[in-house]
Amino acid sequence: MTNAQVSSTSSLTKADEAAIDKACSLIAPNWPLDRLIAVNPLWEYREQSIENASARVAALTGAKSTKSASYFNEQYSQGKISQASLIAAAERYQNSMSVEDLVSALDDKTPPIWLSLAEIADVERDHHKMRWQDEIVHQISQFCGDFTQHETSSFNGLYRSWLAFSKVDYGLSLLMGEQKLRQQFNQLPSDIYALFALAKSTLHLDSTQLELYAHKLLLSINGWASYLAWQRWEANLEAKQNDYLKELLAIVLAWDLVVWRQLEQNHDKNDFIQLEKAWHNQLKDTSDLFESHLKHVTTLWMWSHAAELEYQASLHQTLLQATESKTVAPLMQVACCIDVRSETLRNALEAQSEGIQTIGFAGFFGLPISYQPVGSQIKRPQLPGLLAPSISATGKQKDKLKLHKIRKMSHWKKWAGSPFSAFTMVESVGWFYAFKLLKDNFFPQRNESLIDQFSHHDEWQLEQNGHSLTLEERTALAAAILKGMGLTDNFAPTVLLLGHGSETRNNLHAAGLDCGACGGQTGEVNVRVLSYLLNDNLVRVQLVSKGISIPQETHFIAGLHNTTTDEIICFSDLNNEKLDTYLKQASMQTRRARVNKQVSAMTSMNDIALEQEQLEKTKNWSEIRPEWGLANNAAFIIAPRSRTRCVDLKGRAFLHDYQWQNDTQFTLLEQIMTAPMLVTHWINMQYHFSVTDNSFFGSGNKLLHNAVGQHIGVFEGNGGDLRIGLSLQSLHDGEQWQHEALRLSVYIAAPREAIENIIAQHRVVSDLVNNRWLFLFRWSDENTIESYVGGKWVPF
Amino acid sequence: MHSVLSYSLLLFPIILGFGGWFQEKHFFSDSQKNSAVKITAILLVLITITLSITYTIEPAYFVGPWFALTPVKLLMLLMVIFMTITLIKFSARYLQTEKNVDRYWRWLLLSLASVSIVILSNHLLLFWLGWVAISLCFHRLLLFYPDRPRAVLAAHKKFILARVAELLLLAAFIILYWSHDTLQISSLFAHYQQLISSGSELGMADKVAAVLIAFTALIKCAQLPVHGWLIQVVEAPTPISALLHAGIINLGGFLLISFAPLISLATGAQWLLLILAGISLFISALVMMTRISVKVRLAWSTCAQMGLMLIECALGLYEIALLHLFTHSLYKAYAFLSSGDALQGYHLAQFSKPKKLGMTSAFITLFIAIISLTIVVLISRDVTPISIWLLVSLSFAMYFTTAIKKLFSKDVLLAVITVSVLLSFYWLGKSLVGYLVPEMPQAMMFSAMDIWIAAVFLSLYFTSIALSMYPNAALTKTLSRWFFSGLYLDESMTRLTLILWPVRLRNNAHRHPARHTQ
Repeated sequence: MTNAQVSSTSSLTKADEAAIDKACSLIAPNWPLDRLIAVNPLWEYREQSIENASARVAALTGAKSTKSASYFNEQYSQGKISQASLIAAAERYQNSMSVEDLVSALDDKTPPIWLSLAEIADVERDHHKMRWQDEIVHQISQFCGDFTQHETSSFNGLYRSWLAFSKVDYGLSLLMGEQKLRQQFNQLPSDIYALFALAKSTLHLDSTQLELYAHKLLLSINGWASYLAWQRWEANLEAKQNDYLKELLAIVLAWDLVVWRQLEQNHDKNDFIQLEKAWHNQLKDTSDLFESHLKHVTTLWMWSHAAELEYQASLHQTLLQATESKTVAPLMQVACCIDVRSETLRNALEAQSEGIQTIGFAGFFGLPISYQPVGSQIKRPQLPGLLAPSISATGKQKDKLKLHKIRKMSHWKKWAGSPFSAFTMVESVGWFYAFKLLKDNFFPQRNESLIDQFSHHDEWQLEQNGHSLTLEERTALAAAILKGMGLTDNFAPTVLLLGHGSETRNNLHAAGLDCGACGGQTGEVNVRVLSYLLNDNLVRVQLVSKGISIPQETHFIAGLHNTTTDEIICFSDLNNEKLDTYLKQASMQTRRARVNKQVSAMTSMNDIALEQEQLEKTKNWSEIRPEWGLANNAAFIIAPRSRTRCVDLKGRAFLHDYQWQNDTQFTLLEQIMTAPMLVTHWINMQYHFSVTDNSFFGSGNKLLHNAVGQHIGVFEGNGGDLRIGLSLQSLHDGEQWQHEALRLSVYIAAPREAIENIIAQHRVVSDLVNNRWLFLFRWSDENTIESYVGGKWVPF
Repeated sequence: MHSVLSYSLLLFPIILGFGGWFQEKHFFSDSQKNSAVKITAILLVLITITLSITYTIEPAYFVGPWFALTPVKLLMLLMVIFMTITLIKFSARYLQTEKNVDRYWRWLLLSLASVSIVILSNHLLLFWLGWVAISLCFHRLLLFYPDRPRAVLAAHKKFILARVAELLLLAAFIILYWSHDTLQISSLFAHYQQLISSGSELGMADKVAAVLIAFTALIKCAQLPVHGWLIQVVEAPTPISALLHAGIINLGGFLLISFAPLISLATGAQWLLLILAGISLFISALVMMTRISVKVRLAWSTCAQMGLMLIECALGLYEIALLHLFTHSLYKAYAFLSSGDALQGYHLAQFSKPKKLGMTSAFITLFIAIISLTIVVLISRDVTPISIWLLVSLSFAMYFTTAIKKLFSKDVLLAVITVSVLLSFYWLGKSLVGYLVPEMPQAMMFSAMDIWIAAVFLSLYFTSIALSMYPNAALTKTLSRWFFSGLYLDESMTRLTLILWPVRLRNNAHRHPARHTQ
């Protein structure tokens, strides 16, 4: 069947089309570097159980979703996983295996992997020839990268464009040592549906197999697939659709067909016979293969759950022993992000004085804004990736001098990088790079990103759909935010709105250390806008009618927690020496608590040396581990702060303030469970999977990172697929992992019915809870903890 | 014993070599190994300062049978020491937690020790041995991650090419020794200088040696079509790329400068360099435009920049070639080490879309360049090759025309000032370096060589503008595609390599423990 005309006459059934759509829908988005936020790489599988999802990925790619069997073995022999937890974990999986069986099951062999045609062809391929799979990924990846440079706005026609390119690509047959390879591309249909139909008939696929196969192919170029999935995500936020992933799928599929036909027509007869045989055997054994993978990963998930139970048990003990703190008249209130790094800071702040209260709230402070540096066309979202911005915030003062400087720099850069003038640039000013090398190596300075340089405004212009927000709209926004924070009365004279951000140099993944709730940026714009809004007397007057009266003497102050140095920077003066001292001391205490406990050189440092050390990290251009970010996160607690105030959660918990008694309709709880809970789940899963299989879910070795298209993502080394997730260096200190891979445990202090109703109303929430993507607990007012399992509440 | 001080130059390879030897020895602790690197760095700085001062006072004492110091060598040495210190400082943190960091230090320091031997040697045999040692030591660095198939393939390609280049160089040196009966580079240098001043011609043997040296330089500088490995070795940690692009790759240029009077007399070798490096420059500069990742872009840019350096050597403009060698090294080292800052470039581009040069303004720019060039030539009555000045004046004219948004505004004034400042930097650099390099005969203005290179520059100028201005025209699309594919040169080389001397490419099935295909 070599004639494209003949084969493309067979068409796709509805079921086939659905299968292809399904395969494309399973790819989760990955955000580009300039707005890097955490994502669960298996997010689009949430309707299946986590075991099914990981079995599928394991069967199709070999990627591991849990820690390895040898890790669990070690944990068990060291007593870190007890027999009791193991049995309890098995019970949760309705499995009656004995401890001995569970231990011996760890020795089970990993089942084989479902292969694409290119991979099958590679097994028997001459070892002195380039491998199909490597070259295919490389070619597609380079092509996609090139495409983004020309057509940044749309990926329509990706397949056609690739086909046109490949038809005249003389290099591949040379490189691969394959005769007449180029002709194969001439025989491919130019329509993607015709191609899908051709593949289906050539390879004898039913629609179930087609889905698996399509999914397998997309996963073989998962980096670019995730980038296109992000394009789809953004389009969906604007209520648009796109089919970019299908275009990508068509390319990989076309390649597989090319391999098939190349072996059929231009190879030794045996090569093709073997390929055909292996392919049909594989199709025949498919369901068995998936079954054996499911069995294999389920064992590992049970072990994983045993480790989770150990953590939960110790956390419950801590929580249940906590004594509720008394409320006193507050001296200062500090509103922080729910980020795990804030947990340590909040403990330190409250330790300074009883009069300091802290509040945990999503770090974008509920402002649905995008930030537009004044005088530019850039619009940068400052809110979680789940939401689309509706308001644009611009500073009121135009900084002409700075803008002019940037335009000059931009012109210089263009000239210096142009293929013609680069030679003369080097010969005339190349010397200066000696000073730059010296300066960056030996006398580094702190510096901030270009766009952030424009965000230091006290007064803001807020616009929605082209008009300025009216007083009513501003008041409504302010009221909603204050209610969300639970800050409607009992205001302290100073309310510090504390965003957070990291400070690193020469770091392609810098945005990943910033505030995820602010879309991978620092929270500066959000806290500045909010303090501007809340200090506005006109707004305050209007707020009274909404039942919120802010006392005259209360002042909102915007500030930033620098998570690399643990400094607290206030953007306006506190005018209170005592508070200044408290903040300084809290910084010091946080720094000490967050220092890597393994490095004895750092724990033994005095305060000043430690501060200096952290400061160095912000300036050092060769620093690859500036901070540990959200590593080791494990829990999310939705409860009043008074219940966790005296507890050290070791920087492992996200904390969201919530007082159910004030939330009569449970709308706040609904918001928390459908937005911040998803964000914390994404973060948790990103860390989890980047640890369990860094080569598939993570971005690999930072020393080899190579930025693609300046902001799209990274390659590891020369080429290959685009990489997603966290780098090894963000998770591992060279000796051991800094993140323990545990699924998120969520604790909610609210009545049963309220929680159940929200689970019932929201498919996303019920999927996450019922499919074991996270664990849900209720922390009752009677100080008991019960677990939500299979729609029932079970005492822990 | 005039040459006694020349033996003190041995200190450089000895210190570097000792620092390297210290690593990867299990009887030393990690902290001892770390201190060894630090001590090496400190000793290097101290000795460099002492020797530089001594040399300035008594230069004649530094020429010996084995080692010699000349102003050019001193400058090269300073450069190498500067790079060594830069890389040691950067890597100390960057590679701190790598498992095999001692292997890194060992081969880094040994590579640099070999580099210092090549730079300081005054003996053909020593020069050659150092040359071989560099490549062997550096090979170990390229394979810092030995399980990356692309790293293996690229290093394998480089390995073969390096051996070819070494054989060519050895042949050249044997010929030189046979025909002149001396192994000392300084004697050979003086001999050819004598020939130049007496207006004599080269013998056949010398001509052959010159061509062999030119070939060696072309291979070492990764000129097309043997450039592939240079592009693909970004499979090793960033500082190794920096060392390669800011150091090792320049050796071809250093070789030509070391034998400058010989090359200046050998028209065949000059043409060889001009044609191959000219084509390399043209293609690599355009391929660079199409690359999507920052490090690969930088690698292609190195290819083009090395082309220019070789062209400058062939035209007899050794002071500019040396200037280029230094400035490019510094620029490229910085560019690699700061490649994690790619987002800054993205933000800059977002803030202001810079003006593109259209065809009309391209011609205006050319016009301005030619007018100013004519004026300068008429006033100075200079007869040096016009092509290099065309490149410079056209580049500055480009700066000028792209900087100006409105004709009568302060943009014009600002652009004039900037261009003047740039020009004076250029002139200053050229004069300073020119002071150190012995003068060599240059190609004549409007000679065939000059016109060929001018044609290369003008084609590059117009092609690059056409590609960015009319990306969707049929012709530019075809061109783009060819450049995007690097003209398939490397694919052919790779295939050839795999046929001639196969390397077993690791089956990356390592993550797939069992496959059920049999």
